[in-house]
Amino acid sequence: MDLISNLALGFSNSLTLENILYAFVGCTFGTLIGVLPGIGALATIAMLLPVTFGLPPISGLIMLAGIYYGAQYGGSISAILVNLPGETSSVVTTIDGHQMARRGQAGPALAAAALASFFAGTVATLVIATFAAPLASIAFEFGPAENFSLMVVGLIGAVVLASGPLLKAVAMIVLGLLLGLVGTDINTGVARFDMRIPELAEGLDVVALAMGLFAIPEIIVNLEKREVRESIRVRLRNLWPSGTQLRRMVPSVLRGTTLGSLLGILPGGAASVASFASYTLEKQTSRYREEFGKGAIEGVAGPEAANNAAAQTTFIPLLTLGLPSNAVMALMMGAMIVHNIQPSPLVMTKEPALFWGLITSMWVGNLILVILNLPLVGVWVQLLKVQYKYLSPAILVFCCIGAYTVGTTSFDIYQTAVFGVMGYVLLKLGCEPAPLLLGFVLGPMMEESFRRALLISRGNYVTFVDSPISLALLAIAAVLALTVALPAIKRVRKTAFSEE
Amino acid sequence: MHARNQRDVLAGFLFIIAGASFAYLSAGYELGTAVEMGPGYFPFCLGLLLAALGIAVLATALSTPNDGDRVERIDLRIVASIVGSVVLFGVFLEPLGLVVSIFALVVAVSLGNHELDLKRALLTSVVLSVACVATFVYALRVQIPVWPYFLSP
Repeated sequence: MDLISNLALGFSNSLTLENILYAFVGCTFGTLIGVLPGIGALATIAMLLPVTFGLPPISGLIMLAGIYYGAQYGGSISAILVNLPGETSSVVTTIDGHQMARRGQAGPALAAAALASFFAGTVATLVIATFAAPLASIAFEFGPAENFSLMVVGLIGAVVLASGPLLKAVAMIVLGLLLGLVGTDINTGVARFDMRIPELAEGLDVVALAMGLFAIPEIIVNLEKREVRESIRVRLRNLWPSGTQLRRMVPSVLRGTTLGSLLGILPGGAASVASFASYTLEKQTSRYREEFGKGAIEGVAGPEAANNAAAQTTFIPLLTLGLPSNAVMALMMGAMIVHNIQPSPLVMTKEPALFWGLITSMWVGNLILVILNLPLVGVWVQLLKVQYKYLSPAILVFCCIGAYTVGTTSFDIYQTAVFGVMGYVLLKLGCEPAPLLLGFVLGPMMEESFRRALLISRGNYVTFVDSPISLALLAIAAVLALTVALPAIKRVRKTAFSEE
Repeated sequence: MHARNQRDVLAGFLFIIAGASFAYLSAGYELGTAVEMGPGYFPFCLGLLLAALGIAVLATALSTPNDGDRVERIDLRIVASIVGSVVLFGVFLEPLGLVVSIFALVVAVSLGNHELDLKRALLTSVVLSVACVATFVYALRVQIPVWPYFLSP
């Protein structure tokens, strides 16, 4: 069967000693920054992106992907042990996970998280493998008008599912699109918005933007808040959950995996949305719902399965359609572009080794994580003891070095500083940075599709609603945008985002 | 003015100004027609869209009852120290090398953070310098000057 041969091709690439090493590095880094609050997967991927320039594309992507789903593992560790979510997706795990730790059940909680995540990761890999080809083949029918509409749906969807006030988020997307257009226009050779600064002729730097928007404001805000961290001296005996606990976990893991896999595929689908949705679901359906909030193992297993499944299936839109569904994917897309791989449905057929290698390496990474993390938990706990006042300059240094290595010019460091200010201002004004990054990465491609569509239709805008696919996509976008206005949905979103 | 949704009002203004600026700049490039798009066409449309969204945000902010969404306190010292530290790093890196830049950055950060005194800042700088040189310069072979230009071989 095709699937088997594709997987075989993938494994032959991901199981090379080199690529296992890169997966290992990515996962370890990912767990590390997942454990540490105050620095997230996004900023780390941005920082390490330039490092991957010298690597073969597949190795680079394997490492960066490892960081992303590794961070989900790491986040749950600090959530359970220290009641601090290392990643936004681990917020829900703090609720029951930390309670379990307080009751001396830290070991089983951690094991539950790890096992649930591994199961979810395996299933998600199969999901990706099965659905990739059909999705890509649908996308082949797309012309420029359909591509444009697809990107519109992707952007609107990302905003609807994942961000706060809709109007501001859409404005952020548009701002991102505009920033993405800075630089030389490929079609006409005209340098746009470059303020006569020669370095801007190639456009603004995505790494600097990501770090400035996400890492720097986070550091500033953390220093402003000066939170006191309570840490628990937890003794890790009995790492393994009991038989009853394992049995209770099973339905939650299954539900979480399904939910996570589905939510991950949707635009805007991100691990955090999945974990929150899973927790809500578990609370409604579990027989032990009175225990929730006091240390129910379902409250750990379900969300952890969901967030890991989502972290992997969220790659699907990017790898099959060339559409990034959230900020991390936008950055991965940037990484692909830098390696000269244009994200599109053609990636599957033109670079099958890369495609399947990346997918199978995600499973390899999950395996590495489950084997490593359980014994290494003690090490991660030690790390949590490093105080933030030492951590923040370290993060800044890594950001600066990372920015510098993109073009070997200090100009990128200055860009990071400027974006840092911008990011901080936007944060204070309650504007979500993620849509901006998404718009930034998609800007040039949207313009290209827009231009081509109108060229073919000789300037007739009707072309966007003429084709049934394009019309359907735009209709979906409109419906999505409208549903946000519905009071019921408004309430759900409000609670979801206030938990963050 | 009442503190009605102060954040959204300011955000609205920001979008209006940004959108208008981009639209204005785009008009400076050839707009062209829908069929033969000039470099200014798409950004011009986007700029107008952004300004329109800004007006919408502003309008909603002014018309809905007070949500209590004030802009939170800004500690300029912290912002300046963090952003300044990055800028300093950028300024020092090429002429004076990685080690000096790290020291400059950490000291600058410590100026805004009263928990980090000078002694600890210097200690952190040393540790960081060693770690960075080991990881980036030796392990990852990144092209980055380590010492000041007048000291290196």
